[in-house]
Amino acid sequence: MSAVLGIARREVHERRFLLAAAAVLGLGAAILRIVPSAWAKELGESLTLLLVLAFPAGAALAVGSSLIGRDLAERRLSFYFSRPLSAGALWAGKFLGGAALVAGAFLCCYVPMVLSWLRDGVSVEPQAGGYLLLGFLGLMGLAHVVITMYRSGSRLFALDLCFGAAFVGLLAVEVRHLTAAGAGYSLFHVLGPAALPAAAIATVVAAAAQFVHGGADARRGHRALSVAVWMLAFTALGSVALWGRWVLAVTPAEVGGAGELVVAGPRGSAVFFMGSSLKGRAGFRPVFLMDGQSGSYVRLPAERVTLPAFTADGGMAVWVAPSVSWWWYAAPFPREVMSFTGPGYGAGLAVARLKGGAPAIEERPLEQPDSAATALAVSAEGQQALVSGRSSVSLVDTASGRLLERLPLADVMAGDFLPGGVRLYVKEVDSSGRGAFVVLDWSPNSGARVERARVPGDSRRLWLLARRGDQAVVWMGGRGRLLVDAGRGTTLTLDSGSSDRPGTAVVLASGQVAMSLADEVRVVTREADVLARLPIEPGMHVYALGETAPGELAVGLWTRSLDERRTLFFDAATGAMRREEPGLIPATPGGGMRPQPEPGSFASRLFVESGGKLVALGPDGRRRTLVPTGP
Amino acid sequence: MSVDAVLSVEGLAVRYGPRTVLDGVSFDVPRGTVFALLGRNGTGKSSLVRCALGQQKPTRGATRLFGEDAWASRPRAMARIGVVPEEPDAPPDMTAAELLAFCAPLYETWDDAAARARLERSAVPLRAPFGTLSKGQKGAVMLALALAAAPELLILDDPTLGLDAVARRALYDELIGDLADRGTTALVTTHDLDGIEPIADRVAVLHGSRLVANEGLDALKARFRRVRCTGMAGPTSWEPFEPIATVEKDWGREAVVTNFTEERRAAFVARAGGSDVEVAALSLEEIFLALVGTAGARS
Repeated sequence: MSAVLGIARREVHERRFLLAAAAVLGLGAAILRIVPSAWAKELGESLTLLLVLAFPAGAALAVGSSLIGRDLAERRLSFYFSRPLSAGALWAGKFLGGAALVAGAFLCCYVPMVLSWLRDGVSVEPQAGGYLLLGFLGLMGLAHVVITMYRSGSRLFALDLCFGAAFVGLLAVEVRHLTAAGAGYSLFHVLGPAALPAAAIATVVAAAAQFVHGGADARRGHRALSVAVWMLAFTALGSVALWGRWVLAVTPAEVGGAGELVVAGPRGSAVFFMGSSLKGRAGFRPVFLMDGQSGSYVRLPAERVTLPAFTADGGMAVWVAPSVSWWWYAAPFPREVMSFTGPGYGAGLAVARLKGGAPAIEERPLEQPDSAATALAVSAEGQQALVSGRSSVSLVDTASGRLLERLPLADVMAGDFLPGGVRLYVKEVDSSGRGAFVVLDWSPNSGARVERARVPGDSRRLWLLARRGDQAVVWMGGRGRLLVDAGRGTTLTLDSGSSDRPGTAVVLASGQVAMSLADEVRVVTREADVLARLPIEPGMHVYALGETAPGELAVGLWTRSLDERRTLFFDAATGAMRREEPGLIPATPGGGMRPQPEPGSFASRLFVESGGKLVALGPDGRRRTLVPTGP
Repeated sequence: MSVDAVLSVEGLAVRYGPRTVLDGVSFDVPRGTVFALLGRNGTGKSSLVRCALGQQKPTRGATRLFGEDAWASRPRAMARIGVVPEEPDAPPDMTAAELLAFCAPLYETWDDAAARARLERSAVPLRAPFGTLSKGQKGAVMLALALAAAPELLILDDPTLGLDAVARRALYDELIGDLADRGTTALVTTHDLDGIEPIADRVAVLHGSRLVANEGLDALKARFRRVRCTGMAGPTSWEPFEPIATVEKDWGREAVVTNFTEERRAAFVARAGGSDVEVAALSLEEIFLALVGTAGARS
């Protein structure tokens, strides 16, 4: 042990200038950040990145490349090999010294930086330093491996280069495969931190194999090193591939069932959903597109799924699939992936054929995509899609992604295909914050625009709650809820209360409207006559309203207590309660962005049980489980 | 392997790619002898020393230190061996004092006082970094480190390379003193044949990747003689001698013979008739030259 420590001490002593330089630079940068001078602070900030990343990385490369490989090739280690020192002791001493140097240089840079950050109120992840240090130790090992292979002067180095190229190529393929499938977060933020120490240990183990097998013989050591390195590397690569397959095979149950927004077509049996748990398999939580009849499903990368639009028969779904580069996953940002939002740039158009069984999905690039693009509607035959972006709305050919027509119009909330054109529901905003809810018919062929309705109001308090056919229910803040009939061009106030909450609403197949107010659900005719008032007990919130069968109003009641959540079923015309389903709330809360499910359709009968179990409620009230709850 | 051999080399072959440096080399270094391993540059002496020290695994064959495979038992064997390498290889920033302090705990038989006394005799400053010392001082440090552990076997790989006459003399003096005091076995590779001749007991010569001589120095010098035959009436052949280098001159002929005995000399003189036959002893250098010269290569 004393020999190991003696060699380690020698390594540190020989390169002590590294520690001194790191200490001087680290303290200097920290002092510059403290000095009350703008230029000094700026200089200190610039030095910070250099010190925290570049200097320790450089030190790790310098130490790793000069630790053994160079000396071994130049036979400068014979002094040690001529002593009663085992190869293992020599290896341990060298690497212990190298690790101490790298860690020392890193800490000399990092600690003053962290202290100055903390002084400035900047939060520092406690584990970040550990990961950085492991990364630098891995870099030291990598430098040792590369330099040893290179300096051995063996022809095997050419083979090493081939293996290296193959390894990098295969790793790139695997990274691409996993990031394309949406498991980039798992790869970089779950496997990555585990891979860092593994890589560091692997290089040290390979160096141990080199020393134990090769001793002072550089070429023999090189052979042992190469065998160890490439065996470990390709075993690790194989393990990553197997791990990737395992991660990508995550089931809905493993991510907490149907936890967040569930989207289903107005007809058909397809349903999009995302789990509630971020745990799942290594944090991989895809969006599932399931055929509710057969139970078969495909997994979609959550970051590449925006809100889908369906054809009227539910046979096709279309959504904008933003491009997500691998580095987006690798970046050390907090994970804030929301379902069906996506980053919204560099988009493609995904088309899913939903004819029963596992959905078939194709993707084509969108021509001139607008930022924050979302599919609003698909034509009945599925040939065209209406796509809105930050500053325009576009008509797109679904077969090619080609842009057919574009209308420069911002804040288009929803759209429908009409014979000969499209209808757009727009939230107009002016510079003063005033705005209007506008229903606009646009004929892409002629370019004609006809305004069907306009309701002025406060743009910040304007919600489209529900729509069916020509009718749309809008919450306008202090003006209450309005029924806008685009066909007739009329606007009718449904309630004049000044509710602070938009609540929820549904336009029934009969044309009547059900809407949630503070303490009741009110059913009104299209002339605003009250048909029924359904009182809601205190502490309960109306989560969703739906029409599960013609004339049957489902009221989903939500509360913090899982046991008390339930759905009440009423006769919409009389307000008489038909039955109660405890523990269930409607899975598709609706909203005016998408067409309402048809009464009696699969989507109208989708419910979520407490815990994430997705169930389809039969007409007889029998529950059929589509997605079981998680473990 | 001889029972009393400290170092045994058995069928040693070393190849670097297509180049064969050593091929089937075998010899023993008996305990208590000074074994001189000679050879021209590039004949594999250093490779052989590295194999002997367990620092290089031979392509074929084996080297045994104290009866154990040198490659497998290197750390254990090194506790009983002192090494002076061809190029002084101590870390350049360590002082002689630091080197002593580093090595002392590694050996049970370390004699620090003796090492310091040797360094003092060689006028080596203890506090100066090794890299700043002169070539002679570096050699003295390496020898002091090698001898301080009272090794059973001392391996010196061309220790006088690059040393001036004074430093060379000082090194040999230290070496001879230690050999005389403790009877240490020594394996010395060197090109300084004049220097090694007074202390070598046994000589081995490497040539063309093979061993062309391996015997006691006295025996070698006894059988290698220069035979000069003046006058033209002498015999046309050198029988019963075995010549390895012959020259024809206008005054007669001359040969280095490898099997000289007094009986053969008498027989050759009898055959020589009226010619004068002169026989001269050879120095180690002359024997070496005869062995590794053209005739040596032929043999």
